[in-house]
Amino acid sequence: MGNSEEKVRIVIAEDHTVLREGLKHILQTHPGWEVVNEANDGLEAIRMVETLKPDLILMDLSMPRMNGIGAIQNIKRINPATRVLVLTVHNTEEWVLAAFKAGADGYALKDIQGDGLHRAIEDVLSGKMYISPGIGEMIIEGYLDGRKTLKTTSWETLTQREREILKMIAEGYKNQEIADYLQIAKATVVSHRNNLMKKLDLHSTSSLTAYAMEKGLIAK
Amino acid sequence: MAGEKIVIMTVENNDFFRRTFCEILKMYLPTITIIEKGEGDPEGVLDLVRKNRPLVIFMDIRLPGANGLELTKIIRREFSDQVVWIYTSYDLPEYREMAEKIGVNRFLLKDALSGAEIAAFIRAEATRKKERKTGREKKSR
Repeated sequence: MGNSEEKVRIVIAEDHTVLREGLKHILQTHPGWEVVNEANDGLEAIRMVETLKPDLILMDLSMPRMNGIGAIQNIKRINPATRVLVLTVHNTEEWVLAAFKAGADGYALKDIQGDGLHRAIEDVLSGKMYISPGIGEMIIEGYLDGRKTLKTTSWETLTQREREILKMIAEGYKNQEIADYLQIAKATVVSHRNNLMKKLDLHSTSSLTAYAMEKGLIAK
Repeated sequence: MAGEKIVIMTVENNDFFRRTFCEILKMYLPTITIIEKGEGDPEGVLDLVRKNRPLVIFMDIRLPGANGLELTKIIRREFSDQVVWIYTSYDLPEYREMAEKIGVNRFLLKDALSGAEIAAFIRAEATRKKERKTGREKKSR
C-alpha cells in the first residue's frame, strides 16, 4: 500500500475505449505512475477529480456530453493541485487558447511520438508548461500578427454553460435529457436554449447543430 | 486455428487512433496482419482489398474523401461477400439506417468496445469463415 501511495496518480479522460486502453498501457510502462481511473466524458472526469484528487489528468478535448474545456475549468476550481495535460487531435489556435484559458497546464497533440508523452507528463508534473512542438510557434506567430485582435464574436459572448448545452443539443439530446445529465431544471435548459438562439441569431435545432459543428463542438 | 494467419484492414484517418488500435489488437492477436488506410480514397481502398482480401474491414464513417458508407458500397460492388464492420464514434440513426441498407455486418462504437471485445469478434469471424469453407468442401464432395 505504501508504495502505491507514493506513485503519481493519473486519471485518463478519453471517450474512445481502445485509446484509453492504449494510453493506460503506455503510462503503466513507467514504474512511478499509476492510472487510478478512466473517464468517458468531461463530467465523469470532474467527478473523479472530486473523489480521487489525482496528481494529473490526461484530458481529451472532444468528448460527448461535456467536452474537455468545460471539464478543465471545473477541475481547476475543485482541485487546483491536479495538473491537467490536454491530449488531443485539435491543433487550431482556438482550441489551444481555450484550453489554457480554462486552466490547462500542458497541450500535447495526439501525433506525439515515442516517449514524447512521457516527457510531456514529466514536464507538467514538475510544474512546467508543456506545448507540443509546432503549436507553440503557431501561437506566437498569431500574437505577432496581432490576429488576436479582440473582436467579439457571438461565440465569445456564450457562457461556458451555454456552450455545454449547445454541444448536447447538437448531439441530439432532448431538453429533459440535458437537464438530467447536468442536474439542472428542465426550465433552465429551455431558457439557456432560448438565450443561445437569441445570442447566435439562430432559430432552429438544425441551425444550432450546424453552428456547433462549425465551432468544432462536435465533429463534422 | 493457432497457426492461421488473420489479415484485417482498417480505414481510419485519425493516425493516433489507428496506431493505438493496431497496437492493442496486436496485444490480443500477436500474429494478426493489419492493413492500414488513412483516407477515403476509393481506388486506393479497392486496391488494398484486391491485394489482401482481408477477413474484416474496420470502416470509419467520417473520412476525408469518400465516407465509410460510400466506400462500403463501392467495395461490395466488386466483393459482394467482403465483411465490413463500421467502427465510428457517431451513433446516429441515419448512419445506422444507411449501414443496414448497405448490409454492413456490424456497427461498432468507438466509445463502447474494448480491445479484448474487438479481438473476440475477430476470432469469431475467423472461425465462421473456416466453418463456411469446410461446409462448402463437404457439399462439393
